[in-house]
Amino acid sequence: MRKVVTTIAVNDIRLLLRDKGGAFVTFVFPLAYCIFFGLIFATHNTSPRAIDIVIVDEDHNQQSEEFVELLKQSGAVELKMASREQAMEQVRRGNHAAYVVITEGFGKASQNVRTDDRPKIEIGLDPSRKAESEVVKGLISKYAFEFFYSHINKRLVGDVPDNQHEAWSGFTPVEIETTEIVQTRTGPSSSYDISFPQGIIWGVLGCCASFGISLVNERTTGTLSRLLVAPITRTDILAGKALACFSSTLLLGTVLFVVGMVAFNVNPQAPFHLAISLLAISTAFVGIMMFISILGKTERAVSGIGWAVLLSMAMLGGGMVPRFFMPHWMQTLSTISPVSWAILAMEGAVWRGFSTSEMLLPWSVLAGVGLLFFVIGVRGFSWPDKG
Amino acid sequence: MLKVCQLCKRFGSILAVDSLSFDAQPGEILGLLGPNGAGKTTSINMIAGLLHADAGEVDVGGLGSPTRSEVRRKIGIAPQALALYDALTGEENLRFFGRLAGLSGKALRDRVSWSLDFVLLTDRKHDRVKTYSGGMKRRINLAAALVHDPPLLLLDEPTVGVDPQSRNALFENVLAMKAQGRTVIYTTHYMEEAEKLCDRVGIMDHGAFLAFDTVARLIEAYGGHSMVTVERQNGRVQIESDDPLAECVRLQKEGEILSLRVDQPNLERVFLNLTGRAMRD
Repeated sequence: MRKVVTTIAVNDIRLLLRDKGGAFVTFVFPLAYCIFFGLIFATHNTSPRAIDIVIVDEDHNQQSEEFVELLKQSGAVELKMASREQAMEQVRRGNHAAYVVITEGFGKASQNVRTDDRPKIEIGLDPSRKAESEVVKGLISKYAFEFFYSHINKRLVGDVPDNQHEAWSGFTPVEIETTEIVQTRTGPSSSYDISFPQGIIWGVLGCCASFGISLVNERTTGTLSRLLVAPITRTDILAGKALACFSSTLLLGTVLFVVGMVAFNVNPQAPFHLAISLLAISTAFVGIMMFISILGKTERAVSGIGWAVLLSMAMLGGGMVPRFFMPHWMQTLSTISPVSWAILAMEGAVWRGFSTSEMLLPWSVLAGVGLLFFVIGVRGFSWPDKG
Repeated sequence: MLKVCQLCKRFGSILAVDSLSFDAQPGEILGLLGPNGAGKTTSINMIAGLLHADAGEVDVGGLGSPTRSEVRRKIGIAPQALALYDALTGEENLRFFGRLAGLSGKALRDRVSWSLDFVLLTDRKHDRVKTYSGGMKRRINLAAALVHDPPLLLLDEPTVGVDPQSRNALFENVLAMKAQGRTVIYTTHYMEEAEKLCDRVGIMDHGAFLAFDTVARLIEAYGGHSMVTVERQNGRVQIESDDPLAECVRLQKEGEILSLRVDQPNLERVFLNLTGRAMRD
């Protein structure tokens, strides 16, 4: 790397640190965010209102479909149909709290009253989500009983008076077998596993805005003209600016994670993955910084429009409210925000237990976003001699 | 040191610089004098390699065009707009620009120290530029142009908005640079500056030279006659004369004089005679 590039980068970082407002937004605010929201999440139930479970119907008959319908109508769970393998993968990734398998023979067995041939349901549970798991087990037992009661009892004795219900007391109509998913991830060990990635995103956004605005400031104050007269190339200048933003975001992410590890028990499952994630995030937001710098001719314009763009990315991408609080349609929509990929890249390394192949998607998206926006930014950048 | 040949620049329908040609030697201060919008800054920017000329050539020290980075190493520029980082100290600014020019280690320290001494800002070197007065900012702007020891200096309106003391200090700096053998291209619209500092002056308007010569020759050619103003009991009279001394003697013989004033032709008269008296802004 050319020495002038590092000279420009060091100068830009020094200027960022001299700007008290910029330094606060970039370094202090994110840490305050991590701690504040970590505390809030820690004292509140972070589970969604309806528990997401995956249903595997291996029986494929009228009885199994009726049982699924009964669960749907309960409103206590949100269901998604899948194969057994897909269901296990979804729970393993932490996307769903549990899966429920309606085993083959469920329909036939539900027509019998023989205790040695009861309908069988398998439940795969995420052991890190104990509260949700217990709720799922309870719900399945409850609705299985209702299902059994409405089918078997009606078939055998017709409508039974209420006082006859006692006859079934102590009888378990459905065999429920639970399995803990053997997996590499253990889920977030604490609320700080969630709040630190989010807080780091705010620091990254602060860096992005500060360096984008500083690039415009160089043009309006004339220092960019002086840089252009220096015996260096335009590529050196832009590379220096990019390096400053890249180094700052990388440093910010590293420092905050170290603080999280030392003081808040944040324990990344895959530190190497986390390092690559931080590199990918820095790459993405260097590109976005360059793009921000062309959104206006003045610092005020770039600051206003730039923050509007960044805040929209943050809102949509789970930087303000964790994605699992969002409705499904919004979670899907949020994938257009680089922030959601940045958070996924960090969470994948910290607590989701993503494999390297699973991490490739967020890393690739972030690198692609960085490259795309950087090219747009460089092509659209207004040099002093081009007006 | 500098050769400018048939330089042209157009911004849309406006011809900002029109076939400008001149050269400047080491140890020479060359003034570009003209009203606002005459094309002085555009010319400076092309000479610095900051703007690409539509036509014509600039050659610095026989090395070629300033669009090449190694040629720009020979150039120092003090732009009209103060191009400094307010949040950095004077010394930090000079160190940064010195590093960009390729200086490092002792050479950098020595040049920064020399530049600060040169503009009399050593005692304020650790203060941030935003705390400097207007005159001090102009001086550190000049130091930033000098820090890498360039043989060619481009000073664009270097005394705008400074008090007489700072202006005088800047004059001394510019004359010292001439004594060091540097070539200085100096744009201004202050006549007394050009008259006091410049060996040759080009009077520009509408992007072209109206006249280009030494100050004395310009005055001789375009300054007109001396003006003798005499006031008597019965009123005031102004007389143009090639020989103001003889005119004064003659006026004294004609009767009692209450007051007498002789205005020699100067660069301001040359400027107004060439560019007219119409307002430009």
